[in-house]
Amino acid sequence: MRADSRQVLETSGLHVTFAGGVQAVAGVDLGLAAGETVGLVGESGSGKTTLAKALIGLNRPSAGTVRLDGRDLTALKRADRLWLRRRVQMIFQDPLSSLSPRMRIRKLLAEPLAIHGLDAQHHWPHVQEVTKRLGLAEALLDKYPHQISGGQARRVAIARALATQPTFLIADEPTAGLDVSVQGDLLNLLADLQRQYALGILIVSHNLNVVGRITQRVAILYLGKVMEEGSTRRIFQAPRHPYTFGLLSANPVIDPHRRRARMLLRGEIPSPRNPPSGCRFHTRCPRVQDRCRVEEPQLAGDAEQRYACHFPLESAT
Amino acid sequence: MSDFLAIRDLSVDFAVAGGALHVLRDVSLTVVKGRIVGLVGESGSGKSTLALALLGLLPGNTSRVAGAIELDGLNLLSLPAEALESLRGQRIAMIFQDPMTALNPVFTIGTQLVDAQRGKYPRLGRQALLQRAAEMLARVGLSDPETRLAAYPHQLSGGMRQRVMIAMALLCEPEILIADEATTALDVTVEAQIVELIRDLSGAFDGSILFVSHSLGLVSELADDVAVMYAGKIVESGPTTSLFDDPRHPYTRALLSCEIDPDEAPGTPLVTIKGGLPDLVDVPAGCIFAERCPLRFDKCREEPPSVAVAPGHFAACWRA
Repeated sequence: MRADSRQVLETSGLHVTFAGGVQAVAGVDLGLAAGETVGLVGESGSGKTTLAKALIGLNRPSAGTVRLDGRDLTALKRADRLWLRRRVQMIFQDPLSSLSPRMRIRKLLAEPLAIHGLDAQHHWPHVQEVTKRLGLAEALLDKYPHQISGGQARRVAIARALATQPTFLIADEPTAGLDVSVQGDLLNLLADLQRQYALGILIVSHNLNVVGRITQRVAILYLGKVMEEGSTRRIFQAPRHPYTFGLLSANPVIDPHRRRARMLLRGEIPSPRNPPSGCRFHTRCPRVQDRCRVEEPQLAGDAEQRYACHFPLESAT
Repeated sequence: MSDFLAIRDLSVDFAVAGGALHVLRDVSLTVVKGRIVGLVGESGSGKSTLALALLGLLPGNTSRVAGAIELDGLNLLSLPAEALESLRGQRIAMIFQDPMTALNPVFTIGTQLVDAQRGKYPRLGRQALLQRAAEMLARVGLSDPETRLAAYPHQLSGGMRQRVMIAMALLCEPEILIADEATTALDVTVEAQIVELIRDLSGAFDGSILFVSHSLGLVSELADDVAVMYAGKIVESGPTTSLFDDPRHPYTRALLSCEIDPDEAPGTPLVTIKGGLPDLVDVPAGCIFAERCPLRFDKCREEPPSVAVAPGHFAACWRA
């Protein structure tokens, strides 16, 4: 997942360690280029939100780097941090709690401009254009957050994130809690916005259908490490890592004629406080061998599909 | 097979600032003994209210309940509170969405599993009840049951806690087990394990299971029969294969078309259902889905009856 250093947000050997020695992210290389959509998939405790927050500078790496256009974020001074925030924005899982209840929507949308010292008069037309594209009526701008619906709050959060014209958008579980009849609206909107503003979008999600459908590339995270990454189509059609196969198998399928052979994973993700030796997935892997318990597999494969497994599944070809 | 649980013309109103919210309107549903019935719907469809009505646990602002809920011929709606109290847990049990809030954090799993059985087995002592609890924990797939009995809820993972909830529900050998979004809070791999467990248990369990969920995929994999709810009505019901192979209500079809097909080419816009839920205070006349329905015509101003479209398969639509 690499391109030239312009318009790229990337991590290299990224570690994020919390107090008590919990390695939430344990050596991840991930790249996001402007104009592409990348999915970050994993179960609770896999470190996906921690990684996402490191990308916007909310979590400090304990080792490794996060680079934006080639500049190391950890070396940024306070003033430069503002430059980062303007380029990389995040929408959080619970949109309503990310909006101050004491401000009207109009003020909430103007706030990012003030924070970044952008001339309100000059930039407001852009904000208006975004809110219009998002289908937020002018009348709604005079309301308070508690007066709008959950779907509208999500749109306001997106409009706010896009107010400063960022290049990258990190979306943490953007469809969590949305009914299936409206989640399509939100995903169509994100796709539209991406085309119009050439955004690089990172979708952090446990919803495999969403990730499979709207991302071009995907990384599958388990206990802070990438198990498999590459082209979403290729990985969803023919996963090589047993964990990826287990995840895809667990996804319910409506049409009985399309249900494929399954591999149900046993047990649950172990605590990151004390990750298993060797391959972190070996305690749940149906293909486990002695070697997996002692030797940690490294990512291997081609640019389209890389996987960290000593005994990968058969390739489709 | 006999209709084991029969809900007839159930209507429920909640008192709200603007008047009465008609959350369930003339809902009829039969659950045959030994079957798993999936109840699907989006937020606001009334599926959780229906589950709570079965347990006699409707919220305090309930202003009207009409119709009947019959369990083996006994109308639960006409029972006094004490009779309902002894029925809950013993004949009808429920597994909730969040096992952490359903379990008491200050008591061990063992104590909670023992207490859950006291009403049904007053003659058995603590040791005998603990023994039963340990056997049930093993049945729901928890290794080392003795250790689990001594544990507090926070010492178990989310999946284990949901297994404990299932064990607790099954300990009193209920005739009806209601699972309300019981796997929604779990990771997908654990969800698949719990669904498999429910399916395995249903073989040995001679009661019926009502599986309430927003997920069409889960319901299609688990249920024998399905009922689809929209805005307080059951719009379509029938055997799972018949309903999913040949959905006859436009809402069911619309819902199915909104499901994301990951094999479809990226870039194709996703399907949505335009518009929103109707006002349930001032409920519009006629078909409840008419306003959002692509097949709407004049007749839809009258309320469509539920008609049989295939054996056991009903749809409430003039075009069905």
